Amino acid sequence: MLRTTLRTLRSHRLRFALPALAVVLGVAFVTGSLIYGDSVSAALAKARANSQPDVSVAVRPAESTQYSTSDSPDAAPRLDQALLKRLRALPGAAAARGTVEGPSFLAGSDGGLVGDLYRSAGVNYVPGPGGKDPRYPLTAGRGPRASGEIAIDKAAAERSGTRVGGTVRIVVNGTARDARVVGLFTAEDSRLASGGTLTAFDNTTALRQFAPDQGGYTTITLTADEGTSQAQLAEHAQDVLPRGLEAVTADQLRGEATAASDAKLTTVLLGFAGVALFVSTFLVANTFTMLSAARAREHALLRAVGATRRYVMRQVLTEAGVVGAVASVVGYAAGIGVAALLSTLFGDTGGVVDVPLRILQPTPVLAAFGVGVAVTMLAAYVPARRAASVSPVAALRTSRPPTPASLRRRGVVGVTVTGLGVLLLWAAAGDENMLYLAVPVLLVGLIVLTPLIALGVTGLLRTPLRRLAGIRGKLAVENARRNPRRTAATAATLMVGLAMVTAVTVVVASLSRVDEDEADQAMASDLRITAVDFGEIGADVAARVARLPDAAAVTAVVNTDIRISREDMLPAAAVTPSTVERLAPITLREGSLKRLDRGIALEEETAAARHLKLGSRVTGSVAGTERKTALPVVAIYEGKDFASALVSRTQLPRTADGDHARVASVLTDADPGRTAALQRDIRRTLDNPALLVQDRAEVRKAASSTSAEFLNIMYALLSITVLIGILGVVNTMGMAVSERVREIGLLRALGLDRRRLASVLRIESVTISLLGAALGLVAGAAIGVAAVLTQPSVPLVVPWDRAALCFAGTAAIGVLASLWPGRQAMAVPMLRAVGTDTE
Amino acid sequence: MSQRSDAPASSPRFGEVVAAGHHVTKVYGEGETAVTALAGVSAQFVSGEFTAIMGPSGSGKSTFMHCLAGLDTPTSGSAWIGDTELGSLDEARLTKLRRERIGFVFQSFNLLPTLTALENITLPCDLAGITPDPAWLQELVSTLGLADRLGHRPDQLSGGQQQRVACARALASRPAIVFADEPTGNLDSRAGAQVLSFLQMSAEILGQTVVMVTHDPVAAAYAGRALFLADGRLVHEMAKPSAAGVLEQMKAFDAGQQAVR
Repeated sequence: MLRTTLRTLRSHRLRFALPALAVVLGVAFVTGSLIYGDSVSAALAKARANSQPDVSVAVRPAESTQYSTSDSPDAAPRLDQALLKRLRALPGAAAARGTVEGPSFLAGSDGGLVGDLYRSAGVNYVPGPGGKDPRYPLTAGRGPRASGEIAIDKAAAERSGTRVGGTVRIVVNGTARDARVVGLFTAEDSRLASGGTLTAFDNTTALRQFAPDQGGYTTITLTADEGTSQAQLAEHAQDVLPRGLEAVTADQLRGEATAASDAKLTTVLLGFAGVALFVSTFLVANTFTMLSAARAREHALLRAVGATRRYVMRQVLTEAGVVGAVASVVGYAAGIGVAALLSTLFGDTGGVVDVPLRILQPTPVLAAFGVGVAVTMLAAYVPARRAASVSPVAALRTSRPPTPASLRRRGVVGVTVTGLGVLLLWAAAGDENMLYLAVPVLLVGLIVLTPLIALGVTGLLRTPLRRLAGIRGKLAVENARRNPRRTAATAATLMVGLAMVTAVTVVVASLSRVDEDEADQAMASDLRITAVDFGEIGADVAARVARLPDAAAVTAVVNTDIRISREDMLPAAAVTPSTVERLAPITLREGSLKRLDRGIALEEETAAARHLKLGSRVTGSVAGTERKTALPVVAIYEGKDFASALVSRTQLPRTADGDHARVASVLTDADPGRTAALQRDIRRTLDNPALLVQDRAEVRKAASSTSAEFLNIMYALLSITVLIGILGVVNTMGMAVSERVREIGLLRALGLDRRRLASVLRIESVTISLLGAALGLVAGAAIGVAAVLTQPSVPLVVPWDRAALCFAGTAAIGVLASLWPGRQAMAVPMLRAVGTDTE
Repeated sequence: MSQRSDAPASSPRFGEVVAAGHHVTKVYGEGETAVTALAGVSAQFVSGEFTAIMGPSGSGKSTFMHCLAGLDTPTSGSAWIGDTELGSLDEARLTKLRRERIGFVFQSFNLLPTLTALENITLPCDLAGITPDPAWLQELVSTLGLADRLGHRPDQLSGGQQQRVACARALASRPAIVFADEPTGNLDSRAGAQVLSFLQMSAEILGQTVVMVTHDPVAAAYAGRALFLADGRLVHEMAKPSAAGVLEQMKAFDAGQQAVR
């Protein structure tokens, strides 16, 4: 049988090329996702496993207290020098080392920060017995010894264009300074593996920078003596630890790390790959349906000479299996490329990540073949059954195959499922989780219903197209109508991709509108200074800005709390009373901010909730101070997005830094017409790449930049599905041409020139594509709207421009997809059609 | 049917040469595998004449017709429609000529399955961008007995009806010449007779030039003249052929060929 199969495949190889290509794309996507996901977690696991080669036991604040507010009285005891000394003296402990880390950034030669900021850190370099820190093996130079010296990881050195002996600008705690690079190191650290930078400081500097008020380490790690197990050492350590600290073994640590690995990304990628594979089944099914119709006589002949139904069915399924297997091999190879692409796609958002691809792992190989072969055979199952059901008499009949079964049952099922999908979507507007059920149901319903929709829509298009394009329009529409199932399956491939594109676009557009509006409303001043994520604004920034000539008004906004009782904390912003009304997005309702120096201003909702009025007193202590004061309410304002309460900056304790009084932003107005000049001045004065100095337009743009980036990644992931949709249109048009050879010949004989022949196909192709686009846009918009409605505070934004672009793009796809079939049609020899029928 | 009163100016007068082939040769393939389908056939067709081209299969009769109708190009020699030499036309002009000056009736697969009978009839006019004369259309349709079939699609029509629709289509644009390639080949004798009488009448009464390729002596008997082709050559011509006469002639060829062998 295999020989017959191979012969069939060879004689129809062009027919199988496109569906196979679709499967190749789907398999490549699956393979790529698996290889990439596997490689990333392998790289991370390796980094984690080797990050602290000499650690046997780690001492850290116990889980229960780790996340409670650090300034509550029963905060975890400090991991200080005394404790370190005590642990070092434990029986079985060979060495003990304190770890202290915090955000620290490196600037590149262009002045901007390098690497993934979320994963960039400053660490303490603790020379061990050999004078070196085993965590950070040096490749050049030496470890840092004084406060002006640092060692950085090798990749960071390359990215910031510096080397040993060079000077690099670093940003720690919001202030930028120059530091001399005395050493380069490599480290098996998950932060490096995922695109961050590491800057090593000498222990004293690190402690001062990252734990100024706690005077302690983040963790203390112990190395066990030979002959002492991790568990034994942990037990010993636990004995001497005060309450609130725990000792965990290195094995436990690793277990926690792997559990939290990025399986999520792989799942998401596989989801997209699954959709791509799903739509590729439509191509396979279309092709096998067409072939089983074209080969009905051949199959009938087989049956007439004694082949069983099973034999015919098995033959068709074997063909599908071979196509699937070939597509899987090619798809796997292409998948390696996809993995590399994914690596750059996701690496780009987080710096350069060197993920060594693990090319031949059993899971992706098995998955590629299983999925490729199974999907192809599954898609060919229905056509195979149809092929097997051809009666032997059909071989003797010369007439065309009987008209396909009516669409009525399909219509009923389609309406029911689509209706159910719409209902679910309706319900989903109130419950997010329902969405995951509603979307597939709706799409499947639409797919079932598409043949009827196709008939309806093309029926409506008859008259306008006839008027527009004359007989060509008429022929094109009628051609699109003659096989509604195939037209529908083709349109559905496009629909699925475009629905997802539309849904994602609607959701992201709505969400970024929220961000933009919030940014707009939150910006009442000309300029705003903020720190990049995980960066800090130094305490002196406001003062330095205020000294600039063009600065008309300046206030720092410092987040603090007023402790009213042990459980009741009133979050407040400490500001400069004289300028805050002008600079902050607040509207005064009652009272005045003039006397804020000795009082408190409340947001109206906060005041109402706490039953406070103008003149009432708020009794409590500002965070970081123990002194209770009674602050009179001097003003009520509106502006809950800015702060619930305002106090004067003078009420902050002088020493309060770090967590107690983080400068959230500095707001400033420029003298009229001097905004740009002031912005330049501030940048020059602060000279800190970690601080963003933005005007209103920039704030608005920055607010939606992450969503724009996200949207582009989504588009990139969905592009494969859309591409398969395009292949589907090409495939269908190609099949149409090969089926209609005689008609095409007749039309040419009767005087349809080549150019217009191509345009008939083009109109048909565009009609099918636009049908898919219209369905996709409507379904996608519905899904997107429902998704947006699950979020009560998000306004609905329908990006009409993008929808129009999508529609126009699909029309272009239709035109492109008809090029090759059009060429095939033009090459059809006229005499094939009109020659005497001697078959 | 009455005499056509509104004959267009371009329509050829009776006796004028409407189509001609001069030493038409067609060779398929090259070198040793070359097959000569036509070995220099010349013939003229005058307006209002119904000519049958006869011959056994493989005689080259269809190829000759294809060359005359601009569906195929001769290897050498020339084919003319009116005073236009087809070899001088590019693809686009040839297509235009076919749709404006030639009508076709093929053996089978004459109609587009997606169009109704009426749409099939007006297809060449639609392709040429001209509106068919409604009175003429009406006349054709009623003569062919298709009035109540116009809205039907080809698969709802019998074979005879389909060929009559094809006849109406061939004549709808009032072409200079109609080529019919075995128009009755797939029909039973009654349906075939209807089609043949119509072609005969359209030549005799309407002055429509018709060239029909057939191997059926009965069909040839409807024509006013019969040309006989054998082995790619014109071997005989017969005026006012009768079925018996044609059959006689065909037998003679067969015998001759047997003798040669």
